[in-house]
Amino acid sequence: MSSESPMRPQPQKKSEKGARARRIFESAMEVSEEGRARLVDRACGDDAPLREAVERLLRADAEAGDFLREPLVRGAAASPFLPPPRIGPYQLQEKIGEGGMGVVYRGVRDDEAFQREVAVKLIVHQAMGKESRQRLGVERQILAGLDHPWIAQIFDGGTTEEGVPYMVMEYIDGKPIDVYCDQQGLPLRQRIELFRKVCSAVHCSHQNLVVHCDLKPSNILVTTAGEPKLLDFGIAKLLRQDIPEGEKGPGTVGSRPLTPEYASPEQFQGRALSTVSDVYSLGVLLHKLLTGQRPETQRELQPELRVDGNFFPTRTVDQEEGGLQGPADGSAPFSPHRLRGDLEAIVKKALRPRPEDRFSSVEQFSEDLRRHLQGFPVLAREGNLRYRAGKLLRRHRIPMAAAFASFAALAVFAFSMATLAGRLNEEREKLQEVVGFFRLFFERASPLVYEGRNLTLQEAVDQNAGLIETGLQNRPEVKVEIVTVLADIYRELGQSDLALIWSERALALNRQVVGKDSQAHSLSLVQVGAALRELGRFDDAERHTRAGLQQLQAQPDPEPQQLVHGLNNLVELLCYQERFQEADEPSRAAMELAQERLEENSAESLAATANRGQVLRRLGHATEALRLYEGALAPYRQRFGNAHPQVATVLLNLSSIYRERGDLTLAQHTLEEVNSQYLEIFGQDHYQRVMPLSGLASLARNQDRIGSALALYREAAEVAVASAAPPGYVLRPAMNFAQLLLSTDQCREGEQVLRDSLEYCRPHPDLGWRYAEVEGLLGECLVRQGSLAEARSLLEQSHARLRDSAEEGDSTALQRALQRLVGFYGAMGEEASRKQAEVALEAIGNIES
Amino acid sequence: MAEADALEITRLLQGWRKGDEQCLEQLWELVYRRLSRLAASYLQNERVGHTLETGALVNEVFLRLTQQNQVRWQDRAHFFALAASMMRRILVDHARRSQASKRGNGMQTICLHELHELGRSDHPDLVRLDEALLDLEAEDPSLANLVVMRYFGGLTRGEIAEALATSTTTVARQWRTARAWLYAYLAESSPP
Repeated sequence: MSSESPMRPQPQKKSEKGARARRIFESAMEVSEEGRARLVDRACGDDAPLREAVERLLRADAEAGDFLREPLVRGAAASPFLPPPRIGPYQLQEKIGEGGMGVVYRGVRDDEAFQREVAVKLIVHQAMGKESRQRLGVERQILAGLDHPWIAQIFDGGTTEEGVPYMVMEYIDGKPIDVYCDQQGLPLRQRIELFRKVCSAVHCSHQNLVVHCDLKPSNILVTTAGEPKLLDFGIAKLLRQDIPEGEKGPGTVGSRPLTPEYASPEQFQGRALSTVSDVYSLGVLLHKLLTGQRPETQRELQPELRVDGNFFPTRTVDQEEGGLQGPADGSAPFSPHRLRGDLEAIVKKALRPRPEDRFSSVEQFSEDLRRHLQGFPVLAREGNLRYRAGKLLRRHRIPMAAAFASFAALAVFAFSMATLAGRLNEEREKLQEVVGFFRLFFERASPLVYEGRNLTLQEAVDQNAGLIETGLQNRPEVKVEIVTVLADIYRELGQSDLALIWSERALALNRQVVGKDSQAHSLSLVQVGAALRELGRFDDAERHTRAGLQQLQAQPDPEPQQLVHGLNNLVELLCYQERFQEADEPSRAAMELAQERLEENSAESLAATANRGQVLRRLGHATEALRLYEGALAPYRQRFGNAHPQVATVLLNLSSIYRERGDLTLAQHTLEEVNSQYLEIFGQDHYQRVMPLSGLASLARNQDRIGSALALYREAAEVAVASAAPPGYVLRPAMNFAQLLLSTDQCREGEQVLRDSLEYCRPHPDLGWRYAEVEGLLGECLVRQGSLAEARSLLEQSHARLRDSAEEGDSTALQRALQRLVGFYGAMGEEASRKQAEVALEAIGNIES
Repeated sequence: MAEADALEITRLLQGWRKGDEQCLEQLWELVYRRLSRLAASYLQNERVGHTLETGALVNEVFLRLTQQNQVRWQDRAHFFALAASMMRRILVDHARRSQASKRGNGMQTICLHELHELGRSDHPDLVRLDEALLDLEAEDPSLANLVVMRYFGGLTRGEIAEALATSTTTVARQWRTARAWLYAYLAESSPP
């Protein structure tokens, strides 16, 4: 090894004397200082120049101090490529890895009966001072305590002869996780499952207060058995509180080695690291595993930019779209579109530049992936809920309400998960918010929900139902609130059976959590009653509703709003059964209490007024009813807007009163507004329009505007069929329509209308007297046209149905059926039958009178 | 770094270890160009107060020149020994140029010597040390070699022993001698 410099003169000839002097010097170094002079004396004898040379060397050695002691430059001593061939009992073999902090060699322990393969990591970072080394010792002990099947075990550690710290750990014969996934051609789902195992290992280390800080594929090997193994907690930082600030080892400063592709923004900026920094790195890893590429933000990073605190480009992460693009050449195993939706949201959430915007823990990250795999809504989308919902509502108003509803359901879910994560206290307010949000939502957006046809919402609710049942086991006080809201949703959806199940569940939970005498329990009783009412189980409904109301009234300081709520429910139940007399007292009580104690236009207050109006009207107090309805109209409009089903309902009732009072023009105008409101809310073909249309038609008929009447009836019939309306909405306008047709001698078209409606309703055999009455009318129509045989069977069938109907029904319908029979038998000359029918008819008349 | 270069350097290292001097020449050519270019940029860009990371520099060259896992232990040691002598030449040349330019036009370039004086004062004048090393080389090449490896290459005793196929105790003993020799030489400007 030479370093010839041609410019230099040839050095003087090698001297024999010099070589001897050096040998003597070396020997002198071997003996003690006292022995040295004697040794030099003996070796040099009287060779003065030799003696002088030796003494110069001895002097130099004594004076040299630190001369050349340190290599020209610091850190060079720790050349990572030249470790001692042996460390402790381990014979080092080939290098198997290299990281920011050091190099890893395969080592073999062969001084025992068995051979053991290990990985030996030499920590060779220039910034490693004495303190850092001590810290590393502590860290090593903690790492050795990490006992997890997916974390490489630490066996041993120490410092080499040269002062290089090392760790001996489990030798893993595996491949980096990204390589493994690609080589095995793992499908998406299995990649996610593998990734979740990694999360589990990281979570375990977090629980031991160890942050990895350098998660990347080369630190996550997958064995041939397909199990991941985490290595290299090389720059792991302890979260231990007992290490004072500013003394957290090599960890917290800018000189910390890092892997730019996987490092979090705070790591670049040399800020404090936390478990959430690992969330970020895992996010990069997941992106890589799922798309074959690292996210855009990472690839664009230039090391030069690191000094600039604000370098981190947020656009790809924060923009609504395009943050997670896949490779252009399509060579990656998964096309980028796979990262849409939930997965995109999850990865994005992990990659948020600000730590507090990410998943708060690796466990949460992993949980969200599990939910995605199992088809549940994911937490990552929580943050966008209100924004998106509000946007949808603004853009589409009520037609998009169903989509809105599914977001609302998601909010419940998100909340339940948040509480699961133990953030209950801070979520308390959020709960109120969520529930309030729901109420608002149902007030504003119930129309489409009434339809109960939106599968997305249905699915969302059903999913949540299962989740709440299992997921909130240990949180009964939260569970009951959510279950209560869920019951409301189902009722609004028209799924009364499910509404019943969930309200009963809420009832049981309330009994368990807050006790039988609580207000919450009383309200649950009322809720169960409402569900039972929808199911037609009026007796049970009444029992529950009255019991709930009684409990409410027995409260020491009952909330007036809840009392009004309970009373309203009772009144509605009684009105359903047309028990208006009994509804009189509670409806008056509800209204008075509302007027006295509630805000004028609160939902309960308005409902109380409308209920009272209906009762008064049915009890014949039309004027008073009119006053109430008219008074309620303005606050209703104020609260719900000018096109809302609740407002339309008030208008419908008003129009009935106007009509009963003979104010046909006002009735007509009112119905026209209802019709246009429904048009705006529901669109052209919605069965809600049938009612105002046929109302307008009958008004036209009463005013002898026959042409308009026929046109309106026809429209009503068409809308009913086109919107697949419930049978009740088809039969009534069909009958009125047909009657008008018959009265204007348009028998053939009348026949067709009646046959169509019967055909439409055939799938529903339990239609009771209305169906029978349409049959009777068709019979009459056929008599007029001379189809006597079919007419006879229809007339007799209609009568039999009406007679046997257990329903209250309309006794006038039975009367009409008998009248038709009397006429028919008379015309046919069948005296005995005619007599019989006449007797029956008289009997009804007697009962009636 | 082209893969061909990496394979080539591996081959040359093996050949050199077997005693083929031609391999050493070629190796020198191949490595020196890269090392000096790299070092030049390091020396230019290093700001005052920063240390020159010889180890990092050499590692970088090594990484670029070889596929690490195909190079055996002994070859690595030889490579670093070789690199150490290159570093000597690069650094000494740099120091010499700095001194010349300072004497010449007084331009404010920072020489390595000064650079280290900022942090530590126990480093000798590199140009004088180089002269001493040349004389030591004439007296005892193995001692000079040792100093180059240790001081310019930053190799540890173990690494030097590996490269020279000797024991660490020998390395330690020779190091002491070489250091005393150089110190005596520099103190009196003549070989002891």
